[in-house]
This record gives sequence, C-alpha cells and structure tokens, in this order.
Amino acid sequence: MVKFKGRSISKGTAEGEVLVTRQPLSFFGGVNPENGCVVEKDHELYNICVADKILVMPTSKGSTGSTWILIRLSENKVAPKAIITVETDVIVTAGVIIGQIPTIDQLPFDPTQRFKNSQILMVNGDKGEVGIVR
Amino acid sequence: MVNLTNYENKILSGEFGNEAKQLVEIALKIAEINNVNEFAEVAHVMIGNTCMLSVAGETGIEFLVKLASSGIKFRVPTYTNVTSIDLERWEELGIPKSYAETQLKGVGAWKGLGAIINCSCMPFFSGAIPRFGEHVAYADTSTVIFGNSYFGARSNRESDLVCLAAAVTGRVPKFGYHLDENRKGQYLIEVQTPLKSEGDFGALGYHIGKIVKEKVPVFKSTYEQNLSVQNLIQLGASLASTGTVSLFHWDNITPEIKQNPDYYYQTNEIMDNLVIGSKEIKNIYDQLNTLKGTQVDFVYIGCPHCSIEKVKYIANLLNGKRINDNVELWVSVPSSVRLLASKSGDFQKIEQAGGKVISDTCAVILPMNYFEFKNVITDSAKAYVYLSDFGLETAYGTIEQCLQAAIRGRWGTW
Repeated sequence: MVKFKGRSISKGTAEGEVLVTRQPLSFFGGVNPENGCVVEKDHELYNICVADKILVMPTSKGSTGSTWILIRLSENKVAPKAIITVETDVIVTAGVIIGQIPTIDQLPFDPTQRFKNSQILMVNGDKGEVGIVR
Repeated sequence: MVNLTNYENKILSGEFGNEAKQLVEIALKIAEINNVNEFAEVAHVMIGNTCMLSVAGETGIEFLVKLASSGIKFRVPTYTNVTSIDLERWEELGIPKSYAETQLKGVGAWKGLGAIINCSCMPFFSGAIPRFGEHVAYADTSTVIFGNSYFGARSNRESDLVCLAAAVTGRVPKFGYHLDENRKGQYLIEVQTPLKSEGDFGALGYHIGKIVKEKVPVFKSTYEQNLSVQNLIQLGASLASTGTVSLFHWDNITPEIKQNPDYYYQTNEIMDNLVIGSKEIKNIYDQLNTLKGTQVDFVYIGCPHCSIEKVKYIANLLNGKRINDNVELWVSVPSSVRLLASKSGDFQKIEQAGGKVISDTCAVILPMNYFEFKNVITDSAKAYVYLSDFGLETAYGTIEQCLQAAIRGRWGTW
C-alpha cells in the first residue's frame, strides 16, 4: 500500500471511502448533527452526508460552535470515519479529539486535489499517515 | 515541549476524571500543532459553547456535568457566555420545560465548577475588566475582538474547550494574538465619511470583514467619529462575523496604536489600503435586505448584548409608544444590565411599549425553531449573518429604523 506521512491531530485508525471537497466546511450551521448531512445551501456538498466517509477538506470555517457539532456527529454515530485536512484549526482539533475521529493534516501535497471520491484510504491518526488501499 | 505544572500533570494522570484530562490534552495538542512551547497565565477567562444546548446539545451539557462531578474547580475568574434560555423568563418565551431543564443542568454544572453566571458575550458589563496587555481566553468572537481592540488585552479566537482548559489550569497556549508581532496592523482603512450611527459602524465592519478576512485592520479618519463603546462593540462584532478578525486598531484612539503608532502601523508586508466613503456604507444597507415584502414578525436588538446606555436610548425612543400587535421586539442584555434597567425605569418603558428585555441568551443561541418567525429586522450585522443562515428573511437597519418598523409593523423605504 502506498503511504504518505502528514501530521497526527487525533489518534485512531480507520479505513473508508473518500468524500472530498475543495471548499472550507463550517460544521456549525453547515452540517446536521443528527444525520451528518451537509445543510449549507451554497456548499458543493449540499445534501451529501459525511457519515462513515473519509472526509477530505481544506480547512473548516466559521464559528467555534463547529467543535461541538463534530462531537455530536460522533455521539450520533454519523461522524466521518476519519478526517484529512490541508491545515487543521483549533475548532476541528478540539472536536476530533473529544469526538475521537482520527484526523491528520499537512500531507506533502494538497489532499483535496490528490484524493478522489470513492477512493479507499486507510488513515492512521497515531502515526499521521494515510495509505491508498485502492 | 511545554513545561507542565504539577497540577496539569495531576489532571493528565486522570486524577480529576476523563473530561478534565481531555481538556488539558486539547490545550497541549493546540500548542503542539502551532509549534508553541510556552503557556501564558490568564487573568480571567470566558467560557461558552459547551453549555449552549442549541449548539453543543445534550452532549455538551453531559460533558460539563461529568467535569463538575470530578470535583475540579476553576482556578481563575471564569465568566460565561449566553445559554440557550433566559434563565428567568424562559417559560414566558414559550420554551418547553424539558428543554429549559436540560439547559439549567448545564448552568448547574457551571455553578458547581465555580463559574460566574453572567451569561453574556459582554462579560465586561458584569465585571470582566482586562488590563492593557493582559492575557485572557474568550470563547466568543465578539468578546475576543472587543477585549483585544478596546482594552489591548490578549486573546485568540478560542475554542470553548481551550477556554475550559484555561479556566481549569489558569494557562493558555501563548501564540497568535498573545504575541506582540501578530498584533500589528495589516490593512489601512481610510474612512472618508462621518459614521452617523451604530448601524454605520456595523455596516463598516460587515464590509471590511469580508475583505480583510483574518487580518488586522487599522482604521483612520479625517472626520471626528463617535468612537463610543457601543459603536466599537458593533464594529468588532461585524468584523468578526463576515471576516475572522480578532483585533482592529483605530488610529490615535485604541490603546496599542495610540501608545505606539510606529510599531502597530509597520508590518513585514506593506499595508494594503482601502478607502470607504458614504457610497460604500449606503450600499451595505441596500445589500442587507432579503425581505420579500414589508411585513415584519420580529425585531431584534442586542447582538452583542446591549449596555445600560443603549437600553436607556431604546427606552427613550419607545417611551409612551406602543409596538404593533403583530410584532415581537426583543432587546437582549446581560442579566446585570436588566437589573440596572429595572432600577432606572428603562426596563419598564420597553416592556410597557410591548417589547421584551431578555437576558442570559440571544436570538442566535435560543432554539429559534420554537418560534415561528419568518423574518427579522435587526440592528446587528452579526445577527443578520447568523439569522439569515438559519433561513429567516433578514433586514438590517439602524436602531431607529428597527424600532419604527416594530411600531408600524412594516419595513419600508426611508
């Protein structure tokens, strides 16, 4: 398996299907914490659900309320299996640590350009690594 | 690596349970990913989101209840942001009892931890008075920008979890706006028109926030501007809503740039330059109107929370008048201000006119799905942004325009 090294933000490992967006995503106001689906009307992922996906995104945006939306997604079992960002901010960091969502960032390339929907990736949050399964 | 205190090590060992441990782990992780080795001692903090039932859900409340049950106490004065209910008038507002009881559980946990139950994004009106240069940690973007800009205090746009960690340990990762070099102006905004109202300041902030994004704007004007507390609160809140601004300077007025203009004007990059005139300000008022008709359901004033001076101003405008039967007018304030307002008769004037002075909460954090408002007129650019995101038809106006709309029951051309 081809592996790439980034930075560990939150521990845990997960394998799953990619859901990629090139637009920053605000979890607060943008994602429904009950079902994990994107409700922000102008967003390219509008009506698509992040649950069980390897969510690949540039960064989050908006209010610090997003931290708790991430935690609630986890509690409701509709969180992404793992998150890969270009750069992780405080909002996402706090959310993925408490929500226990494996998260990595700072890969040696832009993951939103490199990874495609329906690819299968294996994310190792402890090591900060991602591998391409297929 | 950060040098941990004995107390922090105790917390990490699990002595105070899992929640406290996670708080310290988060603070350390934030330090790590920002390559920060030092922590700053905070004078006071303001916590928030975790206790907002509409934001953090029961998950947040449970987290606080568990944290409180560990026996841990906040080590520094810990102010609090709004909750999702008016602690005294929730029933009158029509909030279901079960919702209120869950929210009150969270407030009870705050109490157990030793928090100050001021419940406002403006803790300054309830005793939080940072000194120039003092390190603090605030969990609301309006609080951060006002604290940094008006007082010259130092806070980042913090996650509530980092603020909770700071409340518990007394320390916060020392980076970003805690450091001199990150507080320099990066954009020069020349205001070439008199700003005639709080609404003009909000409009200015709405416009500039979009352009400067996260950078530090420096405002300058050849006109004499009314740089009152309320006006600067509105400017900051708007900048922090359309942009992610944490700090602004106003030439010769705000303390950092007044004390040391050479330092705060010069940056590593050449400052970008913008000129704002009356046309730009008028354009924003025109832009900020998504109402399809003239019907008005809801008029909202108080984002950020009103000072007692603003409440007096509103009371005088409403004195002897009556708002339209079909309109709900809310003026939101910290409970400390509601108490003051009832001592001076201003609370009564607003209520007799048919308005409601609500405290401990606001229209952004109340569970708005319990109310059937289709539209809102507001004097707050920040509330405009959030309430339109919630799906309300929204219009922005000055305080006078908002109150006129509440009295007439109609939003119209001026």
